[in-house]
Formats: sequence, structure tokens, C-alpha cells
Amino acid sequence: VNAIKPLAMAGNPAPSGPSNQHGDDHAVVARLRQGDGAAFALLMDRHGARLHAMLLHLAHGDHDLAAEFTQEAFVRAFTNLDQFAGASSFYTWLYRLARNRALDLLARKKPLARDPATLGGEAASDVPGADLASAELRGEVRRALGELPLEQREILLLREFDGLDYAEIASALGIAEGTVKSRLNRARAALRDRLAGRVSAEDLA
Amino acid sequence: MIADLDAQADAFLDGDLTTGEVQALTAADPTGWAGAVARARARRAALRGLARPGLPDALRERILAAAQPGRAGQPGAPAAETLVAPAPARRPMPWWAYAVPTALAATAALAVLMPHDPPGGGPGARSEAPALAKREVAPGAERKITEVSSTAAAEPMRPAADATAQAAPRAFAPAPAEELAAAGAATDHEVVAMLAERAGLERASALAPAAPAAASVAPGPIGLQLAWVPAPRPGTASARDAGIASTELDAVAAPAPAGAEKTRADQRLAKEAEAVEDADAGRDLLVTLRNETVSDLRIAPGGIRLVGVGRDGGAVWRTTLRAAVETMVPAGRSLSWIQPLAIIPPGVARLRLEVDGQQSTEIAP
Repeated sequence: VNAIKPLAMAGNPAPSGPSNQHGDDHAVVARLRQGDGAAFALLMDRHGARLHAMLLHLAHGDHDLAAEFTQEAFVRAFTNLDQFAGASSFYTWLYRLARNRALDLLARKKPLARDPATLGGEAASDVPGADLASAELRGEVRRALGELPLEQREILLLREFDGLDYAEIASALGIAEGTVKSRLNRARAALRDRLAGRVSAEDLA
Repeated sequence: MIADLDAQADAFLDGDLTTGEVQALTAADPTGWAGAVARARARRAALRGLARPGLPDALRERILAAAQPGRAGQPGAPAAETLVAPAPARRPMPWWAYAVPTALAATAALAVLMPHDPPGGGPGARSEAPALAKREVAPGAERKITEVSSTAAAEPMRPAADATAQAAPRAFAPAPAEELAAAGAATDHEVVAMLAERAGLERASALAPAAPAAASVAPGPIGLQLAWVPAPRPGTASARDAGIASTELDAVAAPAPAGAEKTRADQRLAKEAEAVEDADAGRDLLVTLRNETVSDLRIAPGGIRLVGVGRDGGAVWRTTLRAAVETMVPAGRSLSWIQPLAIIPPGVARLRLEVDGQQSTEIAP
């Protein structure tokens, strides 16, 4: 049993979360506060693609909306930089800025039928474990994910796609860690239910 | 049983099961348990393997231009100037601070929305376009948007639009009440009253009678107008609500039960939560679409965009207005609403409206 300790499993989030860059990000933010313009570009290069990808999936693959949310988050971060106290990671703060506008809009926007090609089915080769899932399964999971309520979709993406831990998700969403766990459990159950109708247990296993 | 095992497998991968619990599950159904764990892994791998497109270069450049108008390598303000983070845009002000901008904005709205005599027409002609004393929030309208509208079945403000109006007699016909209601109709007086309410003035007559119009109008079948309006006073009916974010952020702001260090960390988190809320403070824009054609104008969700133009004339920022709903403006009518803008990037030198390929003229932020 000890040989299959869960923390050693491929099913856990990628270790590329913001924690690794947490301290370094704060140093970059300090440089930006001191007037180093290049620091802003550096922060964008570190977190821009990640935030954009997250928002793209949250927005059902709507590239225009994802771009809008991404831009607004960075501009808000820049203009409110003096209020970033450093208690959370820069990325979770950035995400929180983005979700204010995103959730407001996405909660009432009907998802559009997206051509799967607009999102791509390819796994990121640098994400550990991503190649374990076939392209077909990823497609089904993406479709099932799109059917989930926004709140469940968001927390699943933050945990599995973005690789945040409970504390980081709690910070990003402004909720308690216990709430993160219960919300995540509900989201996982909902995803399983939706996948059960379209993917056989054998296909998944 | 499979569902239970799947749930247990997810709990196991989250590290929420003890060794004893895992041993019990394995002993009870070795094959089933192994399958459940494999399925849970596959689901997670599929989520992790979703596409991760990079940040588009154009978007990256737009963000840099919007946030840092004078960044190194670009003509413009020196970097030190552009890197000063401005104070939050809105703070409570005394009532008299609203009077002048209120007067300007209300007069602009009057100039734009007031019914004019149609060409060759007199009082009789004007009566064909009655203003309906009705104001509604359009179903599905975005949060924080207050719908107001005016019958704009009137003489267009520019000669270029006169021909359209003269060739479109239907545009001057009174529309059915339901149609106007759908567009969120209101009288001009209501618009003024609403603006006065937002500014905290007791009477709309306190507004100045004349001022240069700050709105912009583009010639063409759709009249596009932008004007700044004063922010609502705290406590007024049209004041913006705090929304989901602040509600959930309350949990973050709550003090921790034990540990001074944890409390200090929570205080820092709370401060950041406030920063997120401050980021929502902004300015309000009166947006007006005038349909100067003989047929109803339907704009698909995402078809109305506010574009920020940088100092070099290029678009550096764009945001979609009414992105979640279809916008309908009956023939010969106008639709106005107050659009809160949470933020205007420092790199934006001018703002314009774009609808179906048409652009308004630009106003200063």
C-alpha cells in the first residue's frame, strides 16, 4: 500500500504551480514598484500564457473573451500593484482580478458550440502525466467539463489544469480551504456522472 | 459500487484516505479498486492534458501598451511617470463635486436624446414620436447596467443622417409599447432624473441648461454616442453592488482564530481582497445606440465593443459591452445604458465605440 502513496501518483497536479516562483515573483513585483518597466513584461511572460489558457477553458474556448479577461487582469494588476500585499502568490492574485469580470459575464452567457480545433486536443508535452489520456478521452472530458456549472468547472480547472493546491485555490477564490475540498468533491462527482454516459469504464481505465 | 469506488479513488488521489482505508478497499475488491484508481488517474490526466495555447503575441503587445504607455522603446512619457500606479478611481465625494460633471453629462444626454422636429415638421410631426414614460431593465442585461432609453425618432443631429431619416418615414411612427419596453424605453426627463439621482441632486432642474455636448456621434445607419456620467452616490438605487467576489472575499477577510502570525497573514490577505474590490471601482459611461434605419437593429452578443486607443492611434484595449445578450434597437429608436467601467488602462488616450463595423468618434477617458 505504501508503494502507491497518492502524493507519488500521476494523478496529482503538475508541480509547476506558482509556489515555485512565489518568492521570486515578489522580488519582481518589488522591482516593478521601483519603476523597473521590464519587470511587468517579465511577470506577463511568467504568468500570461497560463492565465490565458485557464481563462480560455473557463470561457468555453472563446478566444476573444479570454483575451479580454487576460488583458483586464494584467492592467488591473498594474494599476493596483500597490495593494498587492504579498500574502498570496502573484498568480492567485492575478487570477482573482481576472475572475471578477469573467464570472460576472460567463455566469449569464450561453456557451457557444466550439469547434474542438479552436481549443486543440493536444496535450502539453511538458505537463507530467498529460500523455496518459488519449486525445479522444481529452475531448470527452473537455465536453463534459463544459457542461458543468461555472463554479464546478472553475475549481476543477484550478486544481487539475492549473495545478493549484487547496490553499492556493482558497486564496484565488476567496473561500476557506474546507469549502475548496467540498466544492471540489462535488465537481468531481458531477464530472464522473457526465462522463459515465459517454465513456466506458474500460476506456477510462 | 463502481461510483462509490470512483469517489473513493478520487479521495485517495487527493490524499484524503488513510493507509488503513486503502488497505480495506484493496482487500475488498482488488480489481475494482485498481480500476477505479486508474479511471481517476485518467480523468485527471485528461484535464491536465487540455490544450495550453500560449499568450498570443498581439495580446501581449496590447497589454504592454495599455498598461505602460511610455515603456522603454516607445515614444511617449518617461518610464518613471508611467510606472506610478494611480489611486483607485472612485472615492466618496461631497455632493457639490458632482454638480458640474452632472450638468455637463445631463446636457449632453439631452442634446443627444431629445426629440427634435423632423424636417419640415411642426408640433404635429413631433407628436408622432411620443416619448413613453416607461423604463425597464432589459431581461438578461449585464449586472450593474441600468437601462435607459429615449425615443430618438427625431431629426438626426448630422446632415449625413438627414437623408436616412427623410427616406425612412417608418422611423417616425410610434412603436408598440411592448417593442419599446423590450428596448428599455424611457423619457428624456427620466434620463435627466436618473442622472440627477446618480449625482444626488434633488431636482433635475438643478442641471445646467446648456453645455457643449461631450458625446460623440458617427454618421451612418447606427448612431453611436459616448458620454461620461457621474458615479452614483453610495446608497442610491443605482449604486453598484459588491457582487460575488466581495461576498466570497469576506471569508478571506475574517480573522483567524489562533496565531498572531496567521492573523497577520489573514490581514494581508484581507488587504489584497480589498484591492480586488477597489479594482472594481471605476467610472460610468453613458452609451447610446441610435437606429436610424427602417428596420430593427439586432446586434449579436459580443457585437458591441469599447475600444481604447493608445497615443499612437492603435487599439491597445478592448472590452465587450452587453456581451451576454443580444441587443435590439427598434427602427428609429435609441437604446441607452450606463456602462460601468471597472478600469481604464493608463495607456488608453481615447475611447471609441464599435458596432457592426461602425465606429463612433473618440472621447477622452
